[in-house]
Amino acid sequence: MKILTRPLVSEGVLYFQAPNSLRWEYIRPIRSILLMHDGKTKRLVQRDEGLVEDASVNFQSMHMVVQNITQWLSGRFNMNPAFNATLEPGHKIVLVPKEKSFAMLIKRIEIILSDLPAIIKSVTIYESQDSFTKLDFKNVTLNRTLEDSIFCKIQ
Amino acid sequence: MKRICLLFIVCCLIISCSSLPKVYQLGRSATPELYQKCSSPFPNGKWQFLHSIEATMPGGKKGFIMGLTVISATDKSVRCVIMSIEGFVLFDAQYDHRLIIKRRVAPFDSEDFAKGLMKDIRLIFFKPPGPLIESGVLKNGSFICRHQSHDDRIVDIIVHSDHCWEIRQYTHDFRLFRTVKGYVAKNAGPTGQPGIPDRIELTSHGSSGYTLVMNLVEAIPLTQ
Repeated sequence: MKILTRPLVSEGVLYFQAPNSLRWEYIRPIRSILLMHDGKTKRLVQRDEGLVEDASVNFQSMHMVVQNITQWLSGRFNMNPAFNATLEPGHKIVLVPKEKSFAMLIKRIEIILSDLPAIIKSVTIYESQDSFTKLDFKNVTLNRTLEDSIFCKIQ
Repeated sequence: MKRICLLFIVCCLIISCSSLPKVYQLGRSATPELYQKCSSPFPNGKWQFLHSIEATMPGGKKGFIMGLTVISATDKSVRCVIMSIEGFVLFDAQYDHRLIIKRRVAPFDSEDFAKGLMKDIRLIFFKPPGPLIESGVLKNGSFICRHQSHDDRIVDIIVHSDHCWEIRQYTHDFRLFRTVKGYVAKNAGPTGQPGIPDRIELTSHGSSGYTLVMNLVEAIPLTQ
């Protein structure tokens, strides 16, 4: 964001299991856990009294991002009818909203694929001319056995 | 009988309108310290604050967001950005003599929300615009400065002995409208900035009231 003196950086860990199980956990600066499993989504945020359930996960924009991330992680980049998907040089997939009203929320999304198969290097979501959110995926491990509890329990 | 009822109603009104805390005046020698104390909640110059915010809505549901606020005490301008925990911008607006909404996403998409938010931010970060009408100490010894704004609201700035502070805004009939509490760490907090509250709690009173608990993540002084 242009007004920021330095970018806001959050770090965490993301687990995904096809088709639709997701654990998106931030560790710093604020611990939060977003869990998606069996069609249910919830988010918990660390407070003084422990992890507290967050109603804002159901905000329209968040709901859309969470739904799409599971599709992208499955390699289904052109499944969402709301976007036009194009493949560009440099392993880049660009998603542009078809509807003008949707473009008010998100201008475009750029997904950079890794040289290794089935791995996404980064996702950049451009919200306006001067603000974007970039998700950098590091230390990726593929095909590890994941317990269901990862996606439905806090642990 | 009618007269008794009327007298009773008038008495009730007087009692309900007398809810402002009593101010005990101090001697002249204490005035500079008093004014300094009453200025302490309000940052000088230009600042960028990042807060993690816990919002409790009417009905008790809790939502968590990030709030980025850039304020300038000099020209009383405000830029406010509300983000999801993941950093997605849900609301972006600027107030510099007039409100400009740059981005708004449901549920932060109403004009009333934007206006109310800017009023809350100005209440938290800027000295009240109206004249000082009373000052001194409360019964418990806390310093108090009482201002009257142009819309006839009363704003009390209360600074406690532990440097934590309160701002209480009352309606023209002295009903409590907003309360802001600032919790200042004894030493410079995690941000390294002395006097900047680590935690601010804003309560909007009334049937559709809400509470915002703002924990400071980052405070950066900006050059003008």
